[in-house]
Amino acid sequence: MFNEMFSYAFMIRATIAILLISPLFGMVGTMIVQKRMAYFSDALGHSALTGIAAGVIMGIANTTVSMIIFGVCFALLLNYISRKGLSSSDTLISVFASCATALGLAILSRGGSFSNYSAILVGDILSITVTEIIQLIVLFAVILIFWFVSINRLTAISIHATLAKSRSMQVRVMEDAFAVLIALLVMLSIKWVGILLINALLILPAASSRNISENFREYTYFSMIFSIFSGVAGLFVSYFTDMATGPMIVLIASVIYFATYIYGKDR
Amino acid sequence: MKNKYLFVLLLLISITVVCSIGTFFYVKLNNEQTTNDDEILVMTSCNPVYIATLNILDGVEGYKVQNLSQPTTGCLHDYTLTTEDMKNLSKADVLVVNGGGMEGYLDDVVAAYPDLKIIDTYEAIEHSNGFIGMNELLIEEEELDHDHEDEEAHEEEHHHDHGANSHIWMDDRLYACQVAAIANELMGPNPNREETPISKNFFEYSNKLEDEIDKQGLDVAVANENVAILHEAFAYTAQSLGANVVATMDLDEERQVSAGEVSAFLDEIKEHNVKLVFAEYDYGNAMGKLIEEQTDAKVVYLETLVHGTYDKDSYIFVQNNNYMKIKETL
Repeated sequence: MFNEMFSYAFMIRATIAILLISPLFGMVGTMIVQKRMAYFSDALGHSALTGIAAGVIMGIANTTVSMIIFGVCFALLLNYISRKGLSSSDTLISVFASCATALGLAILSRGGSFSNYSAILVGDILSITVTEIIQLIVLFAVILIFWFVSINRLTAISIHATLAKSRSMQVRVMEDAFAVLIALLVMLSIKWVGILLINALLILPAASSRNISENFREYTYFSMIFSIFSGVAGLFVSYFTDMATGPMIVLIASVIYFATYIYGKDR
Repeated sequence: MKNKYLFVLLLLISITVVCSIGTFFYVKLNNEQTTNDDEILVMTSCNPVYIATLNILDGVEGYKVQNLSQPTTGCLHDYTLTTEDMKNLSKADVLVVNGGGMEGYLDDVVAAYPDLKIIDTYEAIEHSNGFIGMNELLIEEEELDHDHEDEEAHEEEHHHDHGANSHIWMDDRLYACQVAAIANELMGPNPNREETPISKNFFEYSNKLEDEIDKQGLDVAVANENVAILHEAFAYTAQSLGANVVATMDLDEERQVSAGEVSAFLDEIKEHNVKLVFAEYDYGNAMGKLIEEQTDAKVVYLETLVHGTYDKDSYIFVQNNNYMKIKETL
């Protein structure tokens, strides 16, 4: 059964992609949940549409480039405005996300042809190419290096930003760098996971892990295990049942979340 | 603490077991017959080329024809391949496609399966491979009066997405060329090709198309008349009848038309004294009612041969049915 599955090049590529993306989601997701940035990453996912629209307007054939540029600018702008503190951050994120999504939809639906872009809503990991896997490997390396270099500072900032600042930590730089990191991860994987589900994959493993973890080490490891497990199991089930991969991964991640929630509640 | 690790282990094992059992029964219930390794598997991308290939390889030993799963709604342009399609394509020897940008996934297929022989019927006609003058029947989307500026940026990404209206099968002359292009490529450079069963089937089917497609005198009655269309596929229906398309509004389930677009469309109908509007019922029904209410034009609901399951005589049946509906409306 598995021999047959791996005789197809597209399944080998999809499995490699899942093994690259899912631990990153598990890892970065812990900090997103810790810093209460779930809404932020969701807004970033939705802004991918605007990134594509910007690429279409500027005549950029490879819309991934325009998505990344837009995502990074959008993340930095959100951070900047949030720091100004003129309004609560969830309101600001909501306003920016709605505005960006509406702009993207308006441009892409020009002439009634939004259907050309509807595939990005649910994603398609099966059509990933070798070049795109190489992009993911580079992203994997970048995030891993950033993580090991900055995890202690990020954790300190997430616990108490003022205290971290008093210890000469560059809070703004770290926050911006982390926002850029989320933007890169979201934009480079959105084509495979889909706008509608990307946030679920970022949040669910980390939230499940948080239900049962007692320290940060456990929190990270469990989150990565849940993420990789959901990714691989979801891919294999979708292969045999001919259903979309993204939703299947999210379903399995959701089962894990509910199970850990019940376990964590009763402890 | 140990309990927690045990819990995680048991949880993951339970999910694995449940998924495995569920998948096992699902696969068992939906088990499809597999292809014999000795057979040449010819996959087709959509119903029109599937019907053509079925007729060409009818009764020919050593070949199996299979269609990719078809979208139940919407347009083929936006269709993405399922896991089942990807599995079938990896076993396939030949993929017959309509071409002209119809199969948006074609670039991915070419990249993933470089050894797969692809028969592109649109390209064969466009490059006049034995079909002298037929390329002039191909309609460019620019000729239709709707906005596709935003597709320009995507042109480089697609194999053939060069503003072509790729619904060529709706013109029976071009469909006959598609049949010839498929037969030609399947026979290959065989010195005795005229004697092969594929050649025999090709001539039989070509004659059948010529004899049995009945335009019911419409090519005279509708010739040079002005018509409007609510689906770009019907530009070829109009062309096959010699009618002039003066207004086009391409409707599908995701298309949102603006009030300005509707009023401009209605104005075109009135200005050019259009009596016939060709539409697809699923997406053109509401607009059709509005057109009949606001103008003197009659709306005819035709089939595009895209959705549904078809057998080898379906092309002739559907086209004749379409022509009959037009005649009844006149």
